[in-house]
Amino acid sequence: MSIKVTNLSFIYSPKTPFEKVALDNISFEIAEGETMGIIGSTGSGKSTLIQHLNGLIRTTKGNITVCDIDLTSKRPNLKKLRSLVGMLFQYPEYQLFADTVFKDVCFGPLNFGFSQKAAEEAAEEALRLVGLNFDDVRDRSPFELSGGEKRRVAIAGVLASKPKILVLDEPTAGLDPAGKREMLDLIRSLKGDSIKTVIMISHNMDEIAEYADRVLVMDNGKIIKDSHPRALFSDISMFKETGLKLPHSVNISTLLRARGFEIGTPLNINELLTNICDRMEGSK
Amino acid sequence: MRDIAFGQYYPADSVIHKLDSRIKLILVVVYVVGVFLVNSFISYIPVALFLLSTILLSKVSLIKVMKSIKGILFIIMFTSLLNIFFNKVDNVLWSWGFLVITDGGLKIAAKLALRLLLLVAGTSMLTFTTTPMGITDGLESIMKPLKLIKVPVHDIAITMSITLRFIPILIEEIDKIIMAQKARGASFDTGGLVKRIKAYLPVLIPLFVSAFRRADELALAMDARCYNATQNRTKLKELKCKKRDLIALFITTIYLILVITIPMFFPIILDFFSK
Repeated sequence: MSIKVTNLSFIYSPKTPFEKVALDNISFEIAEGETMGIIGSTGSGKSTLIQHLNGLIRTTKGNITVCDIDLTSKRPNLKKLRSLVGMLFQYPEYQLFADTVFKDVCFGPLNFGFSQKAAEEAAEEALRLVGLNFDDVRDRSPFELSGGEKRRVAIAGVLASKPKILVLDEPTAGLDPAGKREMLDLIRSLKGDSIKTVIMISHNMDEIAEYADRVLVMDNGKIIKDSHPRALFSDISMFKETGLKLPHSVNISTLLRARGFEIGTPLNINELLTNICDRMEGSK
Repeated sequence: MRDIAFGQYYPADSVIHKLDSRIKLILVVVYVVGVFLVNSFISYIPVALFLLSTILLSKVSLIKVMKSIKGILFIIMFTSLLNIFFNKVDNVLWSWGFLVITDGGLKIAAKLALRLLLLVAGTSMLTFTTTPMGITDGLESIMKPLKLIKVPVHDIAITMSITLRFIPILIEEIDKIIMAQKARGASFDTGGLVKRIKAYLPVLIPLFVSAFRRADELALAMDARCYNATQNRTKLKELKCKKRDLIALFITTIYLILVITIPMFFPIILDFFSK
């Protein structure tokens, strides 16, 4: 279930005045079991990159292999690929279309060749998994649900096809703080049994610091950094250059460091507090 | 969806781009009138020359213009074929059962194909060289006299510019929705016609939902900023006729005169050379 990308490049509208290099010679590997965060400013190529992983954009230059499916081959098995790689787009609630929630969630599994019964079972399981009251929502129209509920239905629609790899493009955008937390906890709880690998684009550094165990930093179609979040956020100079923000906990530790109070690089609020307490006890 | 060439603006720094959009609108109308006035092959020469020089002056790549024609190539071929077989004029060249080709029919079909080609290529030069905003501003200005008979000219113009502005947004939206449904295993290029049309339902429904949502949000936003179309609004970019616009008008007038008069003069010129 690993992903291997080598020398991938992609240009939008080549040979026109609108030409734009979206990806510029990108190489990386993701092993099974990793939670990979992708960060970078708008237009840095993050979305283009993940659309390649699902064969939504055909590879024009370079190689991609996902779970032993070679995407550069002439006719890759896209159905199989897309059933293995679940993709949740930005604002996924805008792709809901069916007249009931249940039918919408069944759409994916039925497309991937599940039998009607298997699809319905998978849909029910997925709806319960995302924390919706199944009997309550199954026959309602997806358009009359609240924003947060719609997004859960959209996620269930992806999960119902039982993917092994989950790719998320800003899953928390537009949610309130409580909704954000619930979403991230949901993603974390999903990983393990059936979903092995998670790839997540985010603009929120706190989320990346807390949830990812590896981070790719993209800038102008290139990968400028590929490291563990702690190593990444320890080197502040890169963030000053690219204009990316730092997690709050790292900001606080940097301010403390400037005043001679060294607490390392905490990746979340709990770590920050623990480190401060440890340090204060140590200095007593 | 992104590769639709017809009706797309092609940014470049050229005389044609800089022309007053009102003048360009008038020029296009004159050009189209010229194309319809053509009744012999020889009159196509000034039309083609006029079009070619416009394309060269505008710095729009020829490939782009070709692409705009590509979209209607099917219609051109279809109408030409119909014309070849249904016009039975003059000598029969070839016949097979009820299918008859005459040289008169061939001539009519060729003229029609040329006319369609020149029409599409010419009108797409307007959209290649004028921004949607430019076109609506020009239209609004040309239609100003209609205000006297209480035609809501400004409302029409703003509706048009909003429509034009939303086309790329909706195309982008379609792309996104198609991708999202493809990721859920939808396929749009397999099965029979009915199956394919059905396959687009999961795209069309979210598209309509989002188009209505956007329209609603835009209306609220305009309302919130007290948008009012009835007062005399001022413009950021005032349209002004310059010297180059007059020159363009002059050249176009000559073009129209040539198109009309060439069939009359051509026999005389031919006579002159054959003597």
